[in-house]
Amino acid sequence: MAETSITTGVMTMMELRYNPITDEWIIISSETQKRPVLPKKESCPLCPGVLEMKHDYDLTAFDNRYPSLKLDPPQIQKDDFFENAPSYGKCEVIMFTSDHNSSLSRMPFGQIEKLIYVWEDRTRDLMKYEKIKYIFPFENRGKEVGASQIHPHGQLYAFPFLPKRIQTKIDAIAKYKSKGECAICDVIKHETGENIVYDGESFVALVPYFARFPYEVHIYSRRHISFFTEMTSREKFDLAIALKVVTSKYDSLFDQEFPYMMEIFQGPVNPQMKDFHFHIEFNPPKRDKVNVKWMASVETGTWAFINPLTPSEAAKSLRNASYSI
Amino acid sequence: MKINGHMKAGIGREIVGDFELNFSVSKSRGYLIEIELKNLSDAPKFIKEIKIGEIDSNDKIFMNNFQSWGPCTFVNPYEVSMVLKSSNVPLNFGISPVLWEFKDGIVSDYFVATDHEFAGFLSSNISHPYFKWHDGNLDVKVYIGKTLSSHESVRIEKLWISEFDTIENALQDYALEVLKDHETRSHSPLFGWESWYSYYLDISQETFLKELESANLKYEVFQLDDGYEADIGDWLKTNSKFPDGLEFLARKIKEKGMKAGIWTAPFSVSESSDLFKEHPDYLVKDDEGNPIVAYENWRRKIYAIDLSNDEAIEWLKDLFLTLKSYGYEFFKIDFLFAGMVPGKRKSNLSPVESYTRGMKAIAEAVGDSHILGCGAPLLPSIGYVDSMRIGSDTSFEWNGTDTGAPSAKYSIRNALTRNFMNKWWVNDPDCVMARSQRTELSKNERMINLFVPALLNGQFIESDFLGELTNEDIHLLMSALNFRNGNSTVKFIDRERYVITTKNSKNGDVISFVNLSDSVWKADLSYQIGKKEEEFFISYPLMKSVDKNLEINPRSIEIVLHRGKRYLRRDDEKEDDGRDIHYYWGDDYDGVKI
Ligand SMILES: [Zn+2]
Ligand SMILES: [Zn+2]
Repeated sequence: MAETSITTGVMTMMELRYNPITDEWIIISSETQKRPVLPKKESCPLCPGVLEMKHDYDLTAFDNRYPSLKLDPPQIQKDDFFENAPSYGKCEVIMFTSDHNSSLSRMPFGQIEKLIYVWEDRTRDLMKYEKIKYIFPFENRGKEVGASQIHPHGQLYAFPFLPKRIQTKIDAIAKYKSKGECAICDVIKHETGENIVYDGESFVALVPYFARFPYEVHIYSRRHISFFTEMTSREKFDLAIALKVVTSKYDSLFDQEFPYMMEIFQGPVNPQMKDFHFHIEFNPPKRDKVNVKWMASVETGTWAFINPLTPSEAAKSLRNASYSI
Repeated sequence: MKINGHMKAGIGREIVGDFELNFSVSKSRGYLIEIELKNLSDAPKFIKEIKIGEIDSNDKIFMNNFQSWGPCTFVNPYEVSMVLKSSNVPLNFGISPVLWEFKDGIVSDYFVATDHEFAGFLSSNISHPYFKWHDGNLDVKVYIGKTLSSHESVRIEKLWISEFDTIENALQDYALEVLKDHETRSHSPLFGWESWYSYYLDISQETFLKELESANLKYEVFQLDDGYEADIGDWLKTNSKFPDGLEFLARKIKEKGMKAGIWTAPFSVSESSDLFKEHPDYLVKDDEGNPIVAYENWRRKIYAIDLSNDEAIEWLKDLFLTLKSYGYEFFKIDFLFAGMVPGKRKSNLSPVESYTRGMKAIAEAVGDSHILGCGAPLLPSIGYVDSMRIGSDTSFEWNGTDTGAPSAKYSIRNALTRNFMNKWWVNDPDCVMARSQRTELSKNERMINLFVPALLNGQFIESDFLGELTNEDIHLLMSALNFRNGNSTVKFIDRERYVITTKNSKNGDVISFVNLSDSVWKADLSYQIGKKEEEFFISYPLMKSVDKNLEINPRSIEIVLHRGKRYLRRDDEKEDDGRDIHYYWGDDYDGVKI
């Protein structure tokens, strides 16, 4: 084992390992470090002047203190049988606002618009590293999906490989070529309105016909684009509105801070894949006001999802839910 | 003297009865006229009002009432004087300190504008300056109301006159000219809640605490309005609805992390109060020595505190020091016009001098706490209030008369016409109400009531039944809050139609069309902006792209959002352990050219 170290009596290590049974890469990241000491136990490390941000800020992007991937990963020791690789890449934290008690659902859409410019800048920056193959911004909101800090923030992973579900999406694009040009373009074209949550000029938000989660929402760009870097200022504005409308509708659905996983899918980079249609998925774990739909055996083991709610019904509830901008 | 926007610089002199007026005219964007008044006689002379000169009038003039609630708008003076003659608008000192002038005319206080000229006094420290319209003439006058000893002379308020291209620019320039002669006392605009427009006088300790319990938004201030006091004048004694007193309430509010606010009418004394019985010596009197009725309200006669009286001033200071010691940090002081009613006072101070003396006493007593003036004479209050009501009370009803009486429509109209006063203090357009229940306002009317105050970025105080708001009501309120923090200018299309151009609100640059009229307004967007119209977008709740020809429904607001390119500034820094951190700053928009 290379570069294992004994800091707290626990062996730590970082590497990528290939699973030949499922043809996918796994990130091993057992690096345990001493947690930094906060000035007060209850203080928020993401507030201005506390820990990560030395001074006031509007938005920031910074390297995760506990990255699973980094540009200077530890060396790995090759195995005779198993395939492995260095944990190359980048894990960033993206602060949406310095306002501790805000959220995408509550902040001015003008702030979300700025966030989109930040996501664009991060994408432009990170695609310069040739070994980066996929740039994935996301947000985990709520303790139900493991968020430990309520201060509004997201993260970004820059992978040195194409993660399994991304590869699946790419394979589906190739397969769809026998039917048409682009599945997302065609879904937008064939949407009759019953699944629509918000019908914007440049983006449409809908509960997809094939939703896996009860209140799953996808946001599709009307134009076939693959990256933030291709969006016009008008599209960035419209996307900010769409994100604001969807997240604030989520909060008013059950009159609670609605937990979700927000995943932003751009095309692969190095090389850029333009067949890929930009989209955002919201995967909320809630099935109703109190109950959570867990990723249980069937979902985790087989990737077959059982959705207890008809997508058009979910869309109707979300369409009727009030929102703010 | 003929006063106009193309007079000659120099000096002049006029004799009016026992008094001599000395003028000195100099150029200052327009013309600045400094005036000295001298008692020529060998005896002390009481001086009431004096005419300084005349300006040319026309059929449409822009007029302003002296106090918070009164109208500020374009009028046809012939029509207004006819209406006043034929209607029974009660004339009391809340309408004007120079009531006698209304016998044969109408009055615009502090400033006035014709179709091309603007005239405004730059202060009201000694006298009450005003313009009297009668029979097509505009007289320039000041009311002083004190005795000048033999050969005594006083410098009275400066008058500024200018020809203008637009009335909006003239008002902006006027605000700056006024500022030259004043220090301001200004806090930032606050977001808060108060009890008046939900409970009115029915507020009780129980209901107030219930509302406090429901306060989930980030209110900075939580204010108790009228209804707690034993009587007008007996502020420290609560009535039976408030068994635990004022100190208890302040503590409860502070426990929730907000500033505690309290309403008083400190220059007013009710005929039934203990103060009236114990201290008739504190009151302004008529020539016979009887206390003067300043106004009637709460079904009682209300008298005015004589603020030239040292003992009354001590009482006043003590009142505010006590409230402050209870924990209050936000003081809404109301019916302030009572402090400057004409009448006999203990010392030889003019009503305006007495008023400012009272205001100064309160300001000193509360220190750096926030003072919100209401029902207040405007010019003499500069420097003594942090924020100022600039319109009538709002209402759960749209209409009303344009006389300073409660009205959702005219309250907002004044917020628009008097927006230029935001250089003197934080403007308070009165409360917003997000509620869809227990209101007569339509959704569009409620949107005007919520979004105009937000866009103008003055005080933003909500007065709702917090426990009864629907999800949609709350979202309407939250959307409005996201349009605060901008810099706005207001363009007057006519008496009932306004365009607000806002730079750098939390939601970016916006242009808002406010239609207070009862008919559809066909507006041309491209005329309002110098930008490509495809960069604009219409907002909440329509969320649709706009054509350059807008149709704004009666009694509604259309907010047009700018979706041009934004520029983020990026600073790269390192964390202590060498990790990269990028700071992005997005406060600069490539915004609307105002
Ligand atoms: Zn925080
Ligand atoms: Zn496509």
